[in-house]
Amino acid sequence: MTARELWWYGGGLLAVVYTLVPLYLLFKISVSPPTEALTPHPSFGLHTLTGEHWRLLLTSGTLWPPLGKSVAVALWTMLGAVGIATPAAYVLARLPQTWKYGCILALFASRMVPEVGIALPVAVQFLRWGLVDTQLGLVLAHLVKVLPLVAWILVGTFETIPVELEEAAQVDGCHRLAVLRRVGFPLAAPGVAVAALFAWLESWNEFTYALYLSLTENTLPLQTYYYVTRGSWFDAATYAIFLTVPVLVVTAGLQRYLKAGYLAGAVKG
Amino acid sequence: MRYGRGMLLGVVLLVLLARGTSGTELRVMMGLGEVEWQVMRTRIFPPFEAQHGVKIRGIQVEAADAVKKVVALHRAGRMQVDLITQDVPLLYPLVAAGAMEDLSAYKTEIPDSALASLTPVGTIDGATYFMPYRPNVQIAYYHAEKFAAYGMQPPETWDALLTVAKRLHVAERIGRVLLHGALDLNTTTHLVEFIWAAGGDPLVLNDAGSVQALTFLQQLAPFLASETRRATWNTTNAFLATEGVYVARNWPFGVRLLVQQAGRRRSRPTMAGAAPYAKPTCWAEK
Repeated sequence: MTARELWWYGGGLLAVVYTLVPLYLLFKISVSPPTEALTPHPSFGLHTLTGEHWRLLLTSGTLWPPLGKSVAVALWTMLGAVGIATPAAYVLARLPQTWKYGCILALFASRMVPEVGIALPVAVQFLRWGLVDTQLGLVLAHLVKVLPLVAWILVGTFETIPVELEEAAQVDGCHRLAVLRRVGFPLAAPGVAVAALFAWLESWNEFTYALYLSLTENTLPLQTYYYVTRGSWFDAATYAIFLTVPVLVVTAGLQRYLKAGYLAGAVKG
Repeated sequence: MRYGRGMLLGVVLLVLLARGTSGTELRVMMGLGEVEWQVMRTRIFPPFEAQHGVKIRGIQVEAADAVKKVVALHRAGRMQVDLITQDVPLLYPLVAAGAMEDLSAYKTEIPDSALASLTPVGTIDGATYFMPYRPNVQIAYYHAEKFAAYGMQPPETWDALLTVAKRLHVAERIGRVLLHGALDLNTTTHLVEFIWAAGGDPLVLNDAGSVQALTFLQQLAPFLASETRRATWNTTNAFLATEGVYVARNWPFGVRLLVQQAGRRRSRPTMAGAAPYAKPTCWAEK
């Protein structure tokens, strides 16, 4: 192993440890009895385990409604964002450069101001429409946030697909929509997966709009926030783990679509 | 009088919002812990519901977030809350946003049994927007085992607090007494408690009481726990729970963590502080 490789692997290992240690500590607290966590010098390893905090969480009745709401909202936001942004991004990618960048800049206009600056007026409008405590309200609010970035990701994706491939498909008899369905979108799948993952994660973790638009039906981040603020360490850690697990599952599920080099050699230079 | 003024700092008021109730349902927004909600739902709400023929729906929202939510609902013209309880420092933004109803006409209905000192803070620019609700009193938590080991009693006065701080500093070689000392939005509130307790006026600041309070804090500072600089209402429970400090004041809802959970591992609760163990006004009185 060369010194360069050693640096790379060492750096990678450090990054992994840096990422995983907080997760491990959350998990440790969630399965530790108070005797193990509430000491001046808590140990790093797992010694005595307890399922009490998890039992309390699962039987409290305060977990499933927020979890269901968060899952549904994140899913609909992801589908909505990808469904709206994919065809739009394709069109943008095929526009002349000047128009394309103009449109992308316009897309980002709403992202150029801090979220707290636009959250209140947006939330007020949604409340005016009676969208408090509804999944639709949150999905629409989350789309305000994620659509520009998802569109940006997908414009970049479609730009990498050579127009020549589509022309070749047309020469072979495909009409315009068939070209999109059989060539454009399948080749864009990795980028769409990234965009979908991004939209899902943004919606899953979203807090500001959820705070404005939820009154009696919390999302999971709001519920976790409640226990961080008002509960014990154990409540907070257990809820935080529950908030994290779906992220890992979705990321792992979509990871297989994230491929590099799928267009290598597609077009002869 | 001093006692009453000191209590004002932590007071929480019942606020009546504009645009009445939804039929027989009273929608009440509060920021409470689970244990506190349990008390509300089992002991406070049922007799009120029976007496007034309404059903109460409790909505959990933290004090700072309540301002955002109420303002947003008000601007949208979709008020879905009838009453909120709110911390005194956060009353004015609600009035400034126009979200509160002028209750001056109902001022005469404030019962005599309400703490007299709570009424004036509900009056802003001559109009009464907020009704007295309850004082939110901090309680003193102290490490009973350590205090027993060192033969000390929980401090109830400034002098006693200084003595305890010095003794613990000598015995442990580091400070174990904690004050809320993080410099943040609440610093004024923390200081005002001491200033009022000494008879000072924080709006004057260089009067005799203020000088006395700040001089005392200056004397105490060398013997305080280093965690004091990071101590807020949110972080204090953690410092107590991990036994980094032995004495501190904080809100009563921390009892669940400090006594019920931390206490399980010992034959008796050692992080005490609920009413039987220490006076709730510990060192609020000079």
